[in-house]
Amino acid sequence: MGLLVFGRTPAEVAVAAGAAGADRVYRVPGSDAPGYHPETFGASAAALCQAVAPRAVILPHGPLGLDLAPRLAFLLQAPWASGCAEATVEDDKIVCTRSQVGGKVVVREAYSGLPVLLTLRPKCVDTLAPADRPSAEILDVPVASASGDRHLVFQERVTRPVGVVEELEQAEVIVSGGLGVGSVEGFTQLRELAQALGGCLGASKAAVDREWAPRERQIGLTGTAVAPRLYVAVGISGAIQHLAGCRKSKVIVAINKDATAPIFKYAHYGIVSEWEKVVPELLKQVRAS
Amino acid sequence: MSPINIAVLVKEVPDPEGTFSFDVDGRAQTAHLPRVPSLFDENAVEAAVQIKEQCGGRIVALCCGPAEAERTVRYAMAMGADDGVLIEDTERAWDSLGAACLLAAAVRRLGGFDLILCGREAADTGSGLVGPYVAQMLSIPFLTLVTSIETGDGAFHVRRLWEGGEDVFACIPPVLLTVCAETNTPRYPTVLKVLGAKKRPLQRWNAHELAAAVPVPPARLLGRYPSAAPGNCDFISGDSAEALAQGLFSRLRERKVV
Ligand SMILES: Cc1cc2nc3c(=O)[nH]c(=O)nc-3n(C[C@H](O)[C@H](O)[C@H](O)COP(=O)(O)OP(=O)(O)OC[C@H]3O[C@@H](n4cnc5c(N)ncnc54)[C@H](O)[C@@H]3O)c2cc1C
Repeated sequence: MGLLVFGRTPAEVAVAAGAAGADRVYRVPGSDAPGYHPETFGASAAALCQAVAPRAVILPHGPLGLDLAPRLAFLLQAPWASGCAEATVEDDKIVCTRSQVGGKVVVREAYSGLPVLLTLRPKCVDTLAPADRPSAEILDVPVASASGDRHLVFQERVTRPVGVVEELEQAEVIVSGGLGVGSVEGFTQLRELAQALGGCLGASKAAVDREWAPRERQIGLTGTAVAPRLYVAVGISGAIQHLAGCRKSKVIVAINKDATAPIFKYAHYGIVSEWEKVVPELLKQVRAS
Repeated sequence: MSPINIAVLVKEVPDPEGTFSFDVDGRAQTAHLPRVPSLFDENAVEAAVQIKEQCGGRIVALCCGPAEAERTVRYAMAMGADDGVLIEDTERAWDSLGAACLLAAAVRRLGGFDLILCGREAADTGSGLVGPYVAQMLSIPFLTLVTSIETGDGAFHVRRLWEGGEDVFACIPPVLLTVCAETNTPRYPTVLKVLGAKKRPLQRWNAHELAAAVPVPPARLLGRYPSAAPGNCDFISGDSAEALAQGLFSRLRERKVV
């Protein structure tokens, strides 16, 4: 297994990559300037794939992977399995499970040929604990020239000011509120509960649309995907697009006044009640412990 | 910027809010669902109309789909597209690569575009494949996940998402961009515009007329089914809010999640 890294710090990456199971880290000299250079990255990655002939190339199903995977697939004349939730090797085939219609539909397909490109949805695969392995060997990949970057001129990288997304991605506990929470004041109570549990606040799209919580806190298909140890959904109905971002949580708790809300089909523990009654009691319990 | 010729690729999809079922061969049984324009494609049409309002030019909306998808082409025309082309096809609803080949052939036949726009992904397949493949089949540059497009100095100034924010690019035409919901809020066409769009000519092409070879062998479908909900919720009982909270908290402690 090899890891292709664009940008800086392959030396530090090599240790973590080794512990995660990689044998080699490929770096692209000259790609350390900040920013994304689509055609250069695509051509360099394609040249590497041609040299090492991997069986599968896995990219994150996010901004980088969604731009780079189709370039690489096209250059290599390889199939691209977009939006994978899972991939396994069966005989000489790679079997991908992809999610469609925002997670409503699952499709299983067998891909043959070399290589197969996969973009893997975030938080779908549990990461293994780092192993006691030597650091990966660092190899240089020549940077390929791509004339096309003259038509797509990278100008600057704008970094989102707050690290809310990273905070959510790393949180062990998330308390999320939906339309049923009803007000900004309601969200203040949820934030207190989240803090008492050592976690942070999330929200449904409907709540964010009403500005009860900031946009960066949206969990779901078009928000952040999370998989904390504990996810508490308060006043959230459980639309598939919301669940797409949280159903991989280890334990899901739903608090909803409607016993037929779809969220209860995904929850491990459910309380059918108005949140206004239960949340303050829960906060008392947590604080007393 | 001088007048801009824009092609917008739009898809009509079974309502993603509905219930999806499939036959044993994995074919979608969606005849019962209302058909709607795919969400992000409306953002693409809106982006095209805004550019035309600033710079002038023409917009053609292209759609690959069954005869009923005429409605979505006409919806794009009501939003502000000048012309519409429907590539009649019933086989490629879930075959993004096949659809991309047809759309690329259609765009090539029309020719002369400065800008091609489409949504970041279709609301049904969710692949995000069509835009990048149409661009590459036509040998023009592309960027995905665009959140803003401005015109000026003979280039499009484009922002696209990256994991920690946005990257800013200058794109020299011709270019293809796939558009996110953040880009704009699609307009609702007025009744007058909807009626006007109904009377305008619309070209219907047959998929068989467009030479479109698929570049890679398709994957073998093993199954397609609605994703199952686990459905094993442990409902906490109790006759007071306090008892409910207590019941939940003790279970969470047993499971060592708090
Ligand atoms: C392409 C697309 C992408 C989307 N992306 C996302 C996304 O990323 N994230 C997301 O969240 N949504 C997303 N959505 C929207 C999604 O479909 C739902 O509309 C949204 O998640 C609903 O939010 P909600 O559960 O807060 O609201 P509702 O569905 O209105 O649910 C409110 C719930 O609160 C309960 N309730 C009301 N009062 C109380 C009370 N006092 N106590 C307890 N419970 C109460 C009700 O019983 C109800 O179940 C997307 C939609 C589309 C089409």
